[in-house]
Amino acid sequence: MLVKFFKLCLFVFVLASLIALGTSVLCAQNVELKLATWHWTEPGRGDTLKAICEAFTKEYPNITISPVSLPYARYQDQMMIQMAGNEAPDVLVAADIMFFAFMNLGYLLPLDELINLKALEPEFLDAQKISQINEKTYGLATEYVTYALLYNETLFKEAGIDHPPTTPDEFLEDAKKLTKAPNQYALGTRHSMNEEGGWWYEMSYWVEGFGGKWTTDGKPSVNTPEVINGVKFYKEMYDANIFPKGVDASTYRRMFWQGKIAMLTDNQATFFLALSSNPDLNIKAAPGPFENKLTNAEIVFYTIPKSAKHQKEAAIFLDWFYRHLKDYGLGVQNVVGSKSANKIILEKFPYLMTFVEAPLADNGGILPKGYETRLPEFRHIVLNHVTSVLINNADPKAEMDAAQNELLNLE
Amino acid sequence: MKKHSGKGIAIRLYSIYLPTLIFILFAVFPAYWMLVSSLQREGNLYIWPPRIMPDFTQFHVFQRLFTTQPIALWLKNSLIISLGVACLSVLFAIPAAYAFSRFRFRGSSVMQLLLLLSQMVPSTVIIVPLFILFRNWHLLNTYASLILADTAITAPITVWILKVFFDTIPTEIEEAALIDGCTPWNVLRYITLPIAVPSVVTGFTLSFFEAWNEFAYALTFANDQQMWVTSVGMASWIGWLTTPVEIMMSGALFFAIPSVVLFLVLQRYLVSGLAAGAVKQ
Amino acid sequence: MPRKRPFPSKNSRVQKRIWPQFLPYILTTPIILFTVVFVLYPMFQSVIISFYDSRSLLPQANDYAGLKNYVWLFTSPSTLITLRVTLFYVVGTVICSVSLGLVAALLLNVPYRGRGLARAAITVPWGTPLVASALIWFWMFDPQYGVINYFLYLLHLTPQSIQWLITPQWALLSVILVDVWRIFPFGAIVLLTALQAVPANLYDAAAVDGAGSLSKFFHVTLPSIRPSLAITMLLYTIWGMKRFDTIWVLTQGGPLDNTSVMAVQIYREAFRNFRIGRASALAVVGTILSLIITFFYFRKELNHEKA
Repeated sequence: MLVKFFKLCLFVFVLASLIALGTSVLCAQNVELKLATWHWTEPGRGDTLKAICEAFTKEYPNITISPVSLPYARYQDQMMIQMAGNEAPDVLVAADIMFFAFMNLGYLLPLDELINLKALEPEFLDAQKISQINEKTYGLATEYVTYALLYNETLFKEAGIDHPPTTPDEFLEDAKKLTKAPNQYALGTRHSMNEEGGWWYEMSYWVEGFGGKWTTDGKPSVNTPEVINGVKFYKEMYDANIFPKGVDASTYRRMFWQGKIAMLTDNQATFFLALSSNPDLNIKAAPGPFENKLTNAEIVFYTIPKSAKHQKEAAIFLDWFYRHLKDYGLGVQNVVGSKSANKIILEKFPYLMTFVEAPLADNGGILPKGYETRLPEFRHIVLNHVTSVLINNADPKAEMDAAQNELLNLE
Repeated sequence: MKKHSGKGIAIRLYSIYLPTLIFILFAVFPAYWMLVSSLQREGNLYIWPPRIMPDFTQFHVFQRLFTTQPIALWLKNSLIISLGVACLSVLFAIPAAYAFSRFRFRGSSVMQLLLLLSQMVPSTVIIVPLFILFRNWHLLNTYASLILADTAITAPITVWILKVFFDTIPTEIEEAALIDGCTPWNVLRYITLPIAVPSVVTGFTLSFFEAWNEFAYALTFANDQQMWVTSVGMASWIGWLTTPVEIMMSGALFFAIPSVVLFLVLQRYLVSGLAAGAVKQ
Repeated sequence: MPRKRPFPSKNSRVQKRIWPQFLPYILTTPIILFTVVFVLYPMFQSVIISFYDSRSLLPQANDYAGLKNYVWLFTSPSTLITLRVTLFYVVGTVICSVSLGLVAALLLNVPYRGRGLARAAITVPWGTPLVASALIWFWMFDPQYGVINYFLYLLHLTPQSIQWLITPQWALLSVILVDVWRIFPFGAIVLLTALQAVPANLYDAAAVDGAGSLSKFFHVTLPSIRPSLAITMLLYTIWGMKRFDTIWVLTQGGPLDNTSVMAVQIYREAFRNFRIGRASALAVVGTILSLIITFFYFRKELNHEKA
């Protein structure tokens, strides 16, 4: 009996190998562009992207687009592995941190020779200037989502508040009125190291609101009074128990559209997601409750790797894609700030002007100038010290001084 | 063994059945909680006190799961790879374990150490060299790459399990058979292996489970959407903004079924009364 | 025509010139080759990388940095934290999983109807996909709505809800609990197999000598399954040194690096800080530590075999 089993195992193995080797033989007559992004599996966005690619192939029948789809959480890792292993896609979608890392590693192709950038200029977003280094453009910023204060008007009315807060103190006051733990909270925010990446966006938002900057003139400046005030205020929010602790962003965003959370400091993609998940929701957006109205952004760039196999065709696609973005509604949701998309959205949601008007902080706010590639280390150090303040009641000034020290000594 | 007197039954209850029940509860409760989380009305997800029972009117979650996600594809890929890995591991491990157990030869210790060494290597640092290797062999996005990479991890474990088991089988039976004129191959086939069935089944199961759960290699070497295994597919549900919890949990429950069922079927082969009987002869 | 071939006897494992001398090599070559090609050679490449400092995952020749990464490793305060956390984590998971696995195996060894179902139930933590397991535990640990705090509250055990994963003192314990839940079935199955192989006559002989259940356990069962027990402990230990996924999903290294085990540090250095050289150096050190532990095991087992 066992011998039969053995033989079966051997047979299965040989068969499987043959099938495997057989299927790996594929001949492409036309050019097949590999488009790598995490958007393929996103609800709504994936289908839109497929539609765009099909429309492109109609116009250029010898170029087809094949998706390279990876889960968002591991997208950056996989792209790094593929680039190192010389299996780069032809078009690579890169979010901010990854874009800078790849650019500094020399993985990306400058687009100036391949695409007529002057022709595209009228459609450029504010964020486009970030992709220009040394007079060369390394990517097309196709979307950026900015941060604002999202709030639930119904809950505000119930609590007797008639307008969104405009100062931090007003914010805290309102928050206390809006919190009816455990079934209703005033805020949802990331606040722990298991969501380090997402927390950085929110921490940056508050710190900028208080006038702080992570770096000044290319050097860390995390212990300036403004930054420390921002951290102090975050601690006040933490101690006031106005947000559910230990809850991750996915959960509190859902609580927001269930009407269990009154405010979020989040981007407009979340805004539209909330509306599409619960159309009855009465939510609006307002500028952040600070004097300083800067906002930060999550930017998405479309790039071409240097080791891409079909550079010219990739460039053709990029050019076409950029010009047709707004036709597919991709513009409406995310490309706030582009001049043509503005009109469409603002007709429908006038209060979204806040996303448009808020001036973008340096480098999108979350990338400390001079430390773009080293953002993860930078962020880890700063947020570790903030965690100390929040959990161990450490002194904010002492902690931020220690962070500044560590950053200056970073090898 | 225990006698079944009245007092004996009470002892049995408290010393065996009750603890077993506690273990089962410990093992199964999170899976139950997955069921509870996936079958809830939207408004009942985040409340205090939390709902303890699943809401069976929400069964359409499973329907949504099957209609919006290529579950069957992922399941097929996972099954092919896991079965392949399990078969291959056992295929390689049995001869090696037999050699280590029954023979004393130069390099035996070194080889065993090498196999153990392979278990100590974190996959994070070898994933790039492996990626380049599979790329050069044109094996990316094939079943072969995953089967090979996973077997390299599971086969050594299987060798060790089998070797330890072989060591407990007295050699008198084999010696007797050889003296009677049996060829070594037949000894292995008709005497040793039948006794070793439990550990072979264990090794098969271990390899299957390891491959079933494996994520990093599956994502790196086979990220073409047609080649996704269940672990990669599930990871794709963790979105940029939000994760559909009910899809994740219902999917998880569904994907846990094949491996548990496999074990249910195989576990009867863990019985081994042969060793005791054979020696007495 | 089969010739008479005396098999090596139990007491002397010396192989007389019976088999072709290279038979054992034939038997072991496939798996050794496999291991060398798919694990050991890549590991060797990774060791080479540890002598380079590069932001790319594949360093170029001019990135050569000699021992710079090792110097960093031995002078950085984060290394000490990593070692301490890893030690606590490994010891905790090994002790708990082996104990639970052994008790489960003993319980599942007793014949009764429905035992098959019980055995299959024990494998649920193992068969459930890892990411989902981590997420459901994350949810169960939720300070506001989680079921664990709910049960503690019902039992009046805690005055207020514990923030399991974001409090330094609880985070590591929580992570250990989740991993023990996930890995104890492996030990249970391996030890169950070993228990099944213990000859019944040994128990009978002990009973004749007047031994009670506890005595039987210590004098018959434990010695008989000792090799399987030892290998289980060893495997748990060396796997513990490289376990990554659950911790990453639950805490990403934890509040204030309190759950930053070696594997998490390696991942962070390689894929977040873009310093593959440092990650490789850390992996080398981790592997050496595992090797040292293995040597102790080998010596103990070899001594025991001679006895």
